Amino acid sequence: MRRLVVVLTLICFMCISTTMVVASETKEKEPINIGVVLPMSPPGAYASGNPMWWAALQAAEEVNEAGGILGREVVAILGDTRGVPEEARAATERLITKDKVVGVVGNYHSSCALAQIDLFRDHNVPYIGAEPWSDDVTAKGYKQVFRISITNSLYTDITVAWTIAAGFKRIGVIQEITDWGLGVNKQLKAAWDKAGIKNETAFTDMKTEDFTETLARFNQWDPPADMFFGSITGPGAFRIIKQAYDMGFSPSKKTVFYATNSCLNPEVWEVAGKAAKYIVVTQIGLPPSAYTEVTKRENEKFEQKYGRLMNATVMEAYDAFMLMCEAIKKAGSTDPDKIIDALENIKWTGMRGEYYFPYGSKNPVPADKPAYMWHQWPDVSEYLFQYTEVGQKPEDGTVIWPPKWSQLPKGQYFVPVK
Amino acid sequence: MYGLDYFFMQGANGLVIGCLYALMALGLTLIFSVLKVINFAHGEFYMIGGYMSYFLVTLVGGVNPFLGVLFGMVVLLVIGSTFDYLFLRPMHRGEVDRPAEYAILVTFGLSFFLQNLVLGVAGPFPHRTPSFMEGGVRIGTISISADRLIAAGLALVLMLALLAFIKMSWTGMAMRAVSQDQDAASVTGINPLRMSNIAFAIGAALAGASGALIAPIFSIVPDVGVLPSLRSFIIVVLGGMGSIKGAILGGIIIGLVESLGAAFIPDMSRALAYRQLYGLMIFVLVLLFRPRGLFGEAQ
Repeated sequence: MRRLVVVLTLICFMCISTTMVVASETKEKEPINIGVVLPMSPPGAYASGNPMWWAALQAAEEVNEAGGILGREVVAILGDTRGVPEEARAATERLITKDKVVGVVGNYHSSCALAQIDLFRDHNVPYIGAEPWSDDVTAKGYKQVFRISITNSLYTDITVAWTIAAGFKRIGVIQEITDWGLGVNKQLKAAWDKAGIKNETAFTDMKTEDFTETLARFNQWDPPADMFFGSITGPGAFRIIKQAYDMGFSPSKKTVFYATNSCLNPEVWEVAGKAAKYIVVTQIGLPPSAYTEVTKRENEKFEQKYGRLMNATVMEAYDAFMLMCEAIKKAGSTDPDKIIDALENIKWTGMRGEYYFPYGSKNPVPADKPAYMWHQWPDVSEYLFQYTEVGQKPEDGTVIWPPKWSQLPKGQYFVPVK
Repeated sequence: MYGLDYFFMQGANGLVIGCLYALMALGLTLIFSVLKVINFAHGEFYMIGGYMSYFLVTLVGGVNPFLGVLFGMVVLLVIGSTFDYLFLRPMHRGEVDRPAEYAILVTFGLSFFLQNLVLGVAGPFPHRTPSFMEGGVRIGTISISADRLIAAGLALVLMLALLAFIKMSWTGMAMRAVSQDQDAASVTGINPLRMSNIAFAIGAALAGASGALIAPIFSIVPDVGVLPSLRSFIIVVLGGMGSIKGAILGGIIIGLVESLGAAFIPDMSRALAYRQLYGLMIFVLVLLFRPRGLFGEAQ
C-alpha cells in the first residue's frame, strides 16, 4: 500500500512538472505583441494613420523574416484612436489589458497621446511616440514615454528662423484648433512678436470646408501679407491652397504660401492642382541628399507595395516600431523596466538617422534645457522645400531651408512665383 | 476697411453655397415629410454622390463632369430605393414595435456602414473631381469661381425641377397626399409604400447630387458628409419640418449667415472658428419666436 502511494505521488509529481515545462515553453513561444495606436477612421486623420499602419506592418514583417525577437514572432496589434482622446484611452486599455502588449508605438494626434501617457505610466508600458508634437508628451517626464518625432518648440524654432531670414514682415495664419495647433501657434506668435513680425491668426475647426471669407480678409491687407501659413492638417490643407490660389491671394508674387506636412501626400496635386505649385512645405526628416541606405531601401519597398512613397510621418511609424523591437532584443526580455532601460541606452540607425535618448533616468534634463527633452530624440531634423513643378514628388522639390541643405543661391530663401 | 464690393462678394459666395446647402436639406425634408423618418445616413448619401461622380469622371476618363452628377444621382436613386425596400418597409407595414427608434437605429447603422465601406474600398486619401470649368467668373465687381457658380446654378435647376414634380405630376401629388394623411391617401388608391419608396429614393438622389456638385469644389473623403448632414438637420428644422419652401429658404439663410459672419465679425481670430455657430444662433432665435420653423405647419 505504501509502495502504491509512493508510486502514485511520483507519477503526479512527474505530470505536474511536465505540464509546467510545457506551459513555460508554450509561453516562451507566444508571440510578442506590440501595440500600434493610430487614427484609422473618422473623425481622426485617417489619411495619415493608414499609411503609418502599413509602415508598422512592413517593419513587423521584416523582423519576423529575420527570425523574430528572442525566438518569438512579433505581432503588430492595431488600436484605432479615431483621433478622439477618449477612444485613444479605450484602445490603449484594450491593448494593455486584453492583448497584453509589451510596448506601444504610434500616435498622430497630440491630444490622443496626452490622453494615453497616464495609462503607460500606470501600467508601466513603454511607449514610443511617432508623431505627436505637443511638448507636453515628454515634458511630463514619465519614465515609460519616449518620442522620436519633432516637438512644437523645435518645429517653431526652425520655422521662425526661416521667416526671419526670408525677411517676412507681415504673416497671416489660418490655424486648426487642436492640441498641436494651439500649442504651435502660441509659440510661433510669441517668436514672431519678439522678432517684430506682424502676424494675425484666424482659428478654425479642422473639418472646415470653406475658408474663402477669411482668405478674402487676409487678401484685403494693405500692405499685403508676405507669407500666409495654412496651418491645417488633413483634407483642409489641400482645400485652403486651392481657395487661396483661386482668389489670387497665395501662392502669388506678393504672398508666399507655407503649408503643413499634409502636403507631402501626392493627393495635394489632385485636390489643389496647379495651386500647389510654389507652396513651401515642411518635412520632418532628412532631405533626399542625406538619405541613409535604410531610408532608400525601405522607401522603395513601400512604394512597390503601396504605390506611394513614405513621407516623414510614415517613416516615423516604421522607425518607432523597429526601435521598440530593437529595445526588446537589447533587453533580452519583455520585462518593461528592462525595455525602458534598453531604450535609454539605445543607439540604432533607422530611416531618419541614428536614434538615441540622451536625457532620462540616469541623466536627467538639465535646468538649462527644456523639459520636453526628457526621452526625446534630439537630432530630429526638419527642412523646408518648395514645389516648383506641378505633380512633383516631395523628393524632387527645391530644398530652401536650412542653409546647410538649401539648393538655392546664398541669400535666397524661397523660389518666387513666376 | 471692407467696402461694398467686399460685402457683395461675400454675400454672393454665401448665396451660392446656400443653394448647395438647400439642395441637400431638400432631400432630407422630402424624406421626413413623406416617410416621417429622420434619415441619419443623409450625409453618407451626399458622400457617395461625390464618390460616384469622381469614379465615373476619373476612372472611365473623358467623361463630362455633368454626367458625373447624373451618375451620382442614379446610383443614389438605386441605393435609396433598395434601402427603403429592405429596411424601412417593415416599419411602414407596422411590423416594427417602435418605428421611430427603429428608423433612427437603422439609418445610423447605414451611416456607419457606408462610411467604413467607402473607407475600405476607396481608401483614406482625399480626392477631387475635375472642375466643371476652370477659373473665375466676373459679374460686375464680384468674382466667383466658375465651379461654385455652375454648382449653384445646377442646384437651383434641380430644386425647381423637384418643385415642379411635386406640384404638377401625379406622383408628386400622391406623395403630398401621403405626407398629409397616409390612411386617407391609401383609401383613394394611392400606394403609400410605393410613394415612400419613391420619396426616399429622390431624397437620397438629391443628397447625392449635392455631393457630386460639391466634389469639384471641396474634395471628398469618407467622412465628408458629417458636417453637411448636421447642417441639413438645422436647415430642415429652421425651415419647418417637411416644408420644401422652408428647406430652400433655410439653406440660403444659413449659407448667407455663415459667409457674412465669417467675413465681418470684427474678431478675426474667432470669426472663422464660430462659422457653424452663426447658423445655429439664427436657428435658435427663429425657434424661440416661431417653434414650428419658418414654414412649418402649426400642430
